Amino acid sequence: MDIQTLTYLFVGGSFALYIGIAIWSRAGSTKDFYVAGGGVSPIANGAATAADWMSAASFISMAGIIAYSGYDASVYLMGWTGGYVLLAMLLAPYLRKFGKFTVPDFIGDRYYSNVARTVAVICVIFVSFTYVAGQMRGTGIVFARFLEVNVNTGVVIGMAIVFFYAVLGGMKGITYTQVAQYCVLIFAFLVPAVFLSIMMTGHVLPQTGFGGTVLDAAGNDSGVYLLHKLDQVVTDLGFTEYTEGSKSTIDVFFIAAALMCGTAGLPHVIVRFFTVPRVKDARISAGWALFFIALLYTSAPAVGAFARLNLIDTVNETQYTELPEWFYNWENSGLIGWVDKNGDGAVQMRAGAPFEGKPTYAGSREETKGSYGERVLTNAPTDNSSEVYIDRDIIVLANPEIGNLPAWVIALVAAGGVAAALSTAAGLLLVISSAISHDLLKKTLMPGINEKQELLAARGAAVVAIVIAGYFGINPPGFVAQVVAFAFGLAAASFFPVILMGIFYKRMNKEGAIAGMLVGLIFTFSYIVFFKFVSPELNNAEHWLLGVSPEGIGTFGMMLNFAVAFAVSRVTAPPPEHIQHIVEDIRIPRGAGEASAH
Amino acid sequence: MIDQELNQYPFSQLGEAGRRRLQEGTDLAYYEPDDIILDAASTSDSVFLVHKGSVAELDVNAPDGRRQVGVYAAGDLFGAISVLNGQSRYRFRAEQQTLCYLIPAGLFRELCESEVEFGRYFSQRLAEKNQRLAERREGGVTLAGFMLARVEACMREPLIMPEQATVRDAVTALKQHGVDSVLIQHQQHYAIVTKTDLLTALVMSNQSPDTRLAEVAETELVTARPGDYLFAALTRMTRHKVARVVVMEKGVAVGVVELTDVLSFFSSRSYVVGLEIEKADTLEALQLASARLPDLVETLMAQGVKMRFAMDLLAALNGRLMSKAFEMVVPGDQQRACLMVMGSEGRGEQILKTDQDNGLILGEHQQWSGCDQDMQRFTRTLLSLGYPPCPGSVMVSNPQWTGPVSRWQQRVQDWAGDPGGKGLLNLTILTDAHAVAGDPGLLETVRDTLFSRCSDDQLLMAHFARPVLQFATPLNLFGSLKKPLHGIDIKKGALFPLVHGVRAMALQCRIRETSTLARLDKLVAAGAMEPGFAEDLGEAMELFSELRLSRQLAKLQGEDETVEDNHIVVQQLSSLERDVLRDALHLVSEFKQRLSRRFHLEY
Repeated sequence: MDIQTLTYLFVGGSFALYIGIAIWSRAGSTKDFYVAGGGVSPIANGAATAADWMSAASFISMAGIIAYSGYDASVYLMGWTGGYVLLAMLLAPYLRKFGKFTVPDFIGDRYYSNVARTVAVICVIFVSFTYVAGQMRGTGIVFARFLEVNVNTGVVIGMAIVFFYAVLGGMKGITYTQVAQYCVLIFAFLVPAVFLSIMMTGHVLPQTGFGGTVLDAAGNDSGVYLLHKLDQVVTDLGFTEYTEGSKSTIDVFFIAAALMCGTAGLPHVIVRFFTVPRVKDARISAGWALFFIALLYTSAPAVGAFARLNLIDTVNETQYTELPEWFYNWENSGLIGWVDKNGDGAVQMRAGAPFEGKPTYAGSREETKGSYGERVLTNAPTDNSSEVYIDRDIIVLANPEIGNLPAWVIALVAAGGVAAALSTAAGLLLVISSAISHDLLKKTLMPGINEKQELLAARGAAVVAIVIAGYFGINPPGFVAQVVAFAFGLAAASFFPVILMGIFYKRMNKEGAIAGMLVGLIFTFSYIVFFKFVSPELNNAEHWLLGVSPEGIGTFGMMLNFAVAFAVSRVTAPPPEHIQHIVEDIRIPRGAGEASAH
Repeated sequence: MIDQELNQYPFSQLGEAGRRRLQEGTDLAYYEPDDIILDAASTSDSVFLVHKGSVAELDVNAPDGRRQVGVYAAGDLFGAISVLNGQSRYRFRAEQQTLCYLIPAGLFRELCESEVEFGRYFSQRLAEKNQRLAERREGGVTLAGFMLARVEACMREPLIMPEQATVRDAVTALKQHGVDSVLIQHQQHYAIVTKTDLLTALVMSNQSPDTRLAEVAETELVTARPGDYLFAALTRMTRHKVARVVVMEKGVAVGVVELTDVLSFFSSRSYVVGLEIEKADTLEALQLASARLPDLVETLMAQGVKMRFAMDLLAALNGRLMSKAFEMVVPGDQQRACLMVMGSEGRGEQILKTDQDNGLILGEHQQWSGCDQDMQRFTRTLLSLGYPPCPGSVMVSNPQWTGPVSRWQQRVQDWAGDPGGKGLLNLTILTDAHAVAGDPGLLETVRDTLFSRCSDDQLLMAHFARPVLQFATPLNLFGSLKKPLHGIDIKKGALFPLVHGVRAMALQCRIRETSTLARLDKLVAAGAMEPGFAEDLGEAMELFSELRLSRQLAKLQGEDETVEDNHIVVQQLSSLERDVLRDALHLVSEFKQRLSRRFHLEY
């Protein structure tokens, strides 16, 4: 069977599996009316949480970023993993005790203020949007490659599937569907990783293969460490050393902290902790989820390194006409572009962008064929010797092909990419639609609407969200990374301190919270806008405040937020008695000592 | 004949040969509105199968307004029993332009003989119909009579005396007018003095005949309006343990309805059950009365009494039965402890006797050393009255379900803190608690704690409501009814999500009522649900209950052992019933969606 048929089979099969599980779990008529503990084991719940957590960004993009940026990309690994730990340990248990489902609800009630609620709603919607847009792009790429369509068409197909899945299917709430998605996802990620690790280093575990030595062509240990070889190869081509970062330590710290605190407030994962009825089970689930997430996160650096090495080996200095099939396929999808600057017909991979912007083609391959059969680009070439553009997001998907793995592995990876995007996108869409219909309309703007109208508003919000996210998936605004930094930075600077102080500092009042949020928000917003949009030419370490890049400035905003909130709350009236009482109560585990207190 | 009808029950029981003969032998006939298709007491030479339009079944001997016995719509069959009986008992008249398939009587009889299953269906229907008819004659109350009688049909002129009147005046007046009670008026307010009150005052309390009436009068009146159903007034009397209600219109007393009047009005054996329970002073008498309840249910159903009224009446009767038993078993000085019933009994929605789900709340300083033994005895007593024990042991014989108010409050805290274990189930049970004996204030105190702990806790409420999504609604992808051969589970697929969803909303909105219909009314009043939707849900609920009950009754009579409890075989319903059922299930489906949003169950 060819790759395409296999892909149809695997993606279709995984869908059939999810739908089958959903039907099976609802139709069982032998069940009891009330099942203790929801009847789901903590391991299953952990896997479901991991599926929610790991998005298309984790599955598709992260290894790609690592492959290209090397050490610098480790901030994403640290930031996102740290964010999960922060969320699981510091926030979720207390939010759970407070008894509120959404972050805006918590903030609105804790600070007895609709202004605070509205600010939080806007943050939630903004962060979720950027995240969904990323998922759309991810599914778009998967469909583009494997259905052999343009990436834009791929995004539209992805939109339709996510809409069906999230809004009409009602499958999100079923833990075992999520578990199945995790299984497909992790299997799809690890199988090629293990294959490549064995082929290149002889280690079964990619995690150890990453630090091991490479095998030579005959399969014998060459005695050269993988990372040494990679450093050698990339510096030869003019790139910075793979294991050497270009960012300053303080910047790395600030970016990681901003990602961590921004991620900790991600609403769709917080909710997952609430669906487990028993506190003890919730804790065990969180532990399992961390394990399941770590499986992927610890393999990603190895996958990135293998991919980079393989890619250079296969593509660099190879005649265009002799390249493997996958190169042409991705070129067809619009995610690879080659411009033969020196006219030798071979592909040169060098540091720097080969041309300006994303590739735009003069027409399809049939209409405008270059002298070697390549698709002709209309972009203005740059004056360096770099000739080829390869979209970072295709690394994980193309990895098995680059490494010459069997066709079924390639199909499996496609199914995994779809699974990763689906669960996260569906979760985020629900959050957006309920934030708009419930937190914004029902609680703040239009308290008079009835249930039916609320339901309609939620549906409408989901549709609008998908359309907007799809738009950004098709027209990535050239600064996806910037927008993501924007989102997480704003989240960290605005509601993270407010949640934290809401839990741990009973004297914090609404004046302090609102002042803190506004200062953090405005400072971070202005800093990012100034460097990214107003004067991008000044965007370098010399002009940055204390050497902190716009990606990391959210952490600074967060500190300001803390300081301002604290100061303002000291000079204004303390919060009402019952709020202080609730805050004290939040940190005492329910059931402990309560009998004697009454 | 077209295939659609042939695939319906009972035609689906026919073999290939039978079908072919039927197809060949059937004619099609057209009737204008008001055409008489088959007259009463005439012999019928065909069986009729309605293809289009509708046909009314009329009892020509009944008085005007009470004639209609039934309606037949597309897919329904009539005249079969007339063929088997020899002649038609009722008149069948076309209501609209109607098309009927005519199956010749000869062919029909042959089919009944040659096709065993097909024949059995009709012979059973015949037996059933005869039985219902007998009950109707015996009961003496027709369907319409039962349903439509209003309070005003049965009330007497009130005897009103000024508030200065004395006991002596009252006795004289009562004797003169031949009544049992007298009202006294004080400005806008009324009070009532009954014969019993007078006797108590004169004999038991040794008051003089010159005592002013106001001193012995009862100021808490149980009232009704002239337009209320008599049935509802009867229910109220039973519930409040009084023998009369005062009829008020715009603040003025316009009449009194005496229990004896109501009973003689209906003159049916059914209502005597209530009286028997009241009169019972020994356990044996109570057992006798209790044993008559199943009969009463069947009669009520045969008479087509609206489910809502039947449920109310039976809840009141069951409540009185338990409260009587409680008085007999529990020592007099301990009777202020609150006995509550839970589950479907608590909601007042059980028709046939279900498991005993009950609990006991003691006053905070109530000393009752023999409580455990007494409660064991009470549970055994209920068992002897025909209430099976609760499999989950939610009974007063289990010390986990008795105790003083503070212990109950602690339990609520514990249960809410452990939603993963049994806690949620226990909270669900307690939410439906309804006091039947003792001091109901105790239960209300516990309920206050329940509300203050649970209602605002969104996470807990989400877990509370989640079972609503546990079972699929039996509709297929295209929105029509699923038709598995073993039937659809009406309890899991329809009744449970509806009842539990309303319960969850009631808990969230701090509604103290326990019956689903009353909760719906209060939810509308609280603005949590639109009036139209609540009304639709209420009707759906009645429909499901009726379907379920008719299955249970059939099972009690030993029919259809193959069909599981709570299962409805869609193929056996008429097409009209199917349409109604499908619409009601769509409503449940929409309700589930709303609940998903309200309680954040999508995640």
